[in-house]
Amino acid sequence: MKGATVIMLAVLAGVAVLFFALRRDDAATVAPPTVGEPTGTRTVELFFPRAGGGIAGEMREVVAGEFVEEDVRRAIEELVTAGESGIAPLPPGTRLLNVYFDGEGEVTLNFSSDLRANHPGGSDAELATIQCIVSTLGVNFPGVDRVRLLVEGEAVPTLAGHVSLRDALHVRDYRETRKAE
Amino acid sequence: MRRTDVLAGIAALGILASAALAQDRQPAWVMTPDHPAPREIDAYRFDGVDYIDANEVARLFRASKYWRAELEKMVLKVGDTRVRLTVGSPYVFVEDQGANLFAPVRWGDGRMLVPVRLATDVLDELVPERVTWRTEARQLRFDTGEPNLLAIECEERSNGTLVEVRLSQPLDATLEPSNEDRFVVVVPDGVASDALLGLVRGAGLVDSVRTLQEPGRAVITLHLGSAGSARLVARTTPPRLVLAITEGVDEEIPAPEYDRGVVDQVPSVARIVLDPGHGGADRGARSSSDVAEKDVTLAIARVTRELLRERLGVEVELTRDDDQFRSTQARSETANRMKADLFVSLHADGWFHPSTSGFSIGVHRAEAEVSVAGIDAWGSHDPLAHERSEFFAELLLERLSETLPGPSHGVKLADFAVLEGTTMPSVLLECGFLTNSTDASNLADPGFQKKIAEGIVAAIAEYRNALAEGGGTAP
Repeated sequence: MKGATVIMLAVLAGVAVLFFALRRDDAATVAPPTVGEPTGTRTVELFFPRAGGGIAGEMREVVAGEFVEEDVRRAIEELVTAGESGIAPLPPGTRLLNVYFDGEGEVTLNFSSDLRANHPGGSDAELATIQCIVSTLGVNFPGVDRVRLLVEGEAVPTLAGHVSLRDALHVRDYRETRKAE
Repeated sequence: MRRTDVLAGIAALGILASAALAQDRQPAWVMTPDHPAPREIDAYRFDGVDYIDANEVARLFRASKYWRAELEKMVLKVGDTRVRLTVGSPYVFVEDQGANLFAPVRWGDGRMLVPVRLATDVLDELVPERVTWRTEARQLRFDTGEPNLLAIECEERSNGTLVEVRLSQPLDATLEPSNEDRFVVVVPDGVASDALLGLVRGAGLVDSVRTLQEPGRAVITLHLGSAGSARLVARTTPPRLVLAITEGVDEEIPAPEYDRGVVDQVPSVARIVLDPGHGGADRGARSSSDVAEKDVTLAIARVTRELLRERLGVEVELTRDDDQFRSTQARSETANRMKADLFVSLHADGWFHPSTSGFSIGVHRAEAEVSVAGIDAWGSHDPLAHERSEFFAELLLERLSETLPGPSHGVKLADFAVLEGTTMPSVLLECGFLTNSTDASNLADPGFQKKIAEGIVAAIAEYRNALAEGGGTAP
């Protein structure tokens, strides 16, 4: 019985030595981690309304595509699902139909009619929806400085009767007001 | 006995493996403008070279990651620039330009690890921040530039507390809507000195002051021991921001400064247009008990009209006096056609969560007015009208704070559609949240509606007196 113990410890010591030798000599022989999809991933900061008012950013890992339009779509569509506050800035059923870049800093988002039809209303909620969209784009997509919102391909005066969508929204004007908490 | 031996062996192996890993893993700290307090990250040292996780690098530089397992290559896309890395190679390619990290990209701890030099010498060139590695402190720092916020001092006065933020150059700042016991000052282009960052003890009414550095701005949060009010003034000689904190309104505390150089442009306040928001098929926000914003706003407009006529003797017009839809443009055109001296658009708010209550005031953003000045006939673009709008908004907040339960959510600046075409001082008042059951019940109550109207009338009376006495826009 004692002999068996000695043999067991000797085998374990051998395994440990082998472990170090392999690890030191050739790092690449360690099995690669199962990172990423073939298309890659992207960490984005998404913005959601808070329960008590205002909006806040949250980090999420989303699939990254070959084209920036795909990345914009994935980031914006995340806003249909609730953030940590349990609140989603985009109304249920909202779909982002198209994304266009004009090459000069302006991105146009064409939403389904749900964005207006299902919006709860009120200037605070309307402003928060706009801030969340604009801030998500402004923070994660360098070079975007204006955002134009369309609904079913049409320009609309407002989402819920308050904030003008007549002109493109400047990111600098609608970037979220992150509180220092 | 044999089972015990096996367990002992496994334990020994585990200890040996852990010890080997710990030998290479050496924590480091990262400091970014978003998180100036040091945040611990995993870091490693191999053959005297410091490494960090490639995933962490991607996060810090907001880069997209593209991983090709069969080639053991990773592409980090920072903005529009692609940086290619290969496991086992010290060379990286920034688009077509090669760079030598003098140590290979490698696997370790089940992760892809890159030399810290990648962040400080290569990716540093692709972001506005300066990225440095402090070897002894093991700190990776992202700095935004020379500090221009130098010091913050709180001074207790007999009638309140003054908070002074000393600057190296004049900077604009805004007092953001917040709770009554917490005020947030945002300084665009502000860079806080290291000494300011974090939480420091306050004085008087201010319990503590927290300063955070965010990309492109500094954010100062004042925590009060109890509810109070605050005013912010930017002064230029010497450059500083002054915040006056009071438990109530106190005339000895400095008030916001307004331009007094336009006396002759100040007329009377004799004609007022009230705009009951929404109408017709556009019901606006709704309560769970089906109180509609369009009905609440019309009721408040009507009672306000009566009180204004009765108490101030002014001419009052409504943009709608029944349940009809009118476009935002038609509403502001009514005010322009009437040559109104003041335009007040009445609304009831909505939020995604029922806990939010209180009132707020919207003022059209000044920059938007300037940006189309002289090009588009639609819109006032009058800086004086904008200043007076903000001034009246402050008065209205004060008066409503006296008559309504609140809380006040302050003044919001945005491109409000109904205000963008007006040629006179104009505000959008959100009287309460229909999504909050208490507010909704109040808003439907004629007694409460009269309280709102009384607050509006008191603010207009004060506004009229201020213009008549001072000739400018200061209280």
